[in-house]
Amino acid sequence: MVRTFLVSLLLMSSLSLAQAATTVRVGIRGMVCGFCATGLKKTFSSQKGVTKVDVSLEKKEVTLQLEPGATLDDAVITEKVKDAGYEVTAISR
Amino acid sequence: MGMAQAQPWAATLSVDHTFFRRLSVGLQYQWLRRTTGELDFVAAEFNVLVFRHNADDWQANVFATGALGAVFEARRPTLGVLGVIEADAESRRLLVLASGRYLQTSSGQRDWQLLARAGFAPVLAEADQLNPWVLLQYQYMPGFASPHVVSPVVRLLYQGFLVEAGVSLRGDFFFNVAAEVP
Repeated sequence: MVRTFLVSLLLMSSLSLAQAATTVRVGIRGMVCGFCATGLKKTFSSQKGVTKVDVSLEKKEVTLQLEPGATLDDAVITEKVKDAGYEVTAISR
Repeated sequence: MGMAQAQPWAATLSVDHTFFRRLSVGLQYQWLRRTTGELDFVAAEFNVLVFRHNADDWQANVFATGALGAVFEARRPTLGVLGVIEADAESRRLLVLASGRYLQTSSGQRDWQLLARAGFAPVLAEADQLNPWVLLQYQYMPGFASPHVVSPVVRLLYQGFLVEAGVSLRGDFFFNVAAEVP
């Protein structure tokens, strides 16, 4: 009985972790103006699973909020940034 | 991207869409008032990002534009070809730009112009804030009534919208708006 309870608890907590919203911070090289920021915002806003995109010119960073359970590979992020004309310096989650 | 620019002797309207990483395609209309007369140019155009350098605090670009269309001089249609090359470098604080354009018509008319700009942003604005700039613009336009035009210009950039307004040292207005369609 105790073992069943512990296993259930473990399953529930791992499920809850998997379902938590994820924040991805992407460092960008070459982003210097409002047009750059708008372009990158447009690029990621259309990406499935992305619920919010914030851009900081000061931090040279794009912050992506993913919906619970959604994933976004580093390779996809890098490709999208490259498509928009910029370079990725770092990705952290 | 949509853009409209006006001066007493010239006006340009253009609409472009970026289809591929380094290529956009669109339409443009130009009106020019040269010493030899007025002309209208309606054309399909393409813009290519030839070179891009991304640094930590600045970027540099070289763009090439080609346009092919109809030129109307005294209501007489001829063929026109336009080529533009533009190089710029900018940070959040400073920008420099130089461009050259050449229009050739099948009737033998030639028009070429040079443009140079240097700009300074007194305030380092964030992406969602109004970003003001002060620019100094020099235009060389042989074939126009005033071939040398120097204009101080104020630029306001807000997210994907840009407005520029200035008055040349001779008192001629300059106006430019551009918008990145969401």
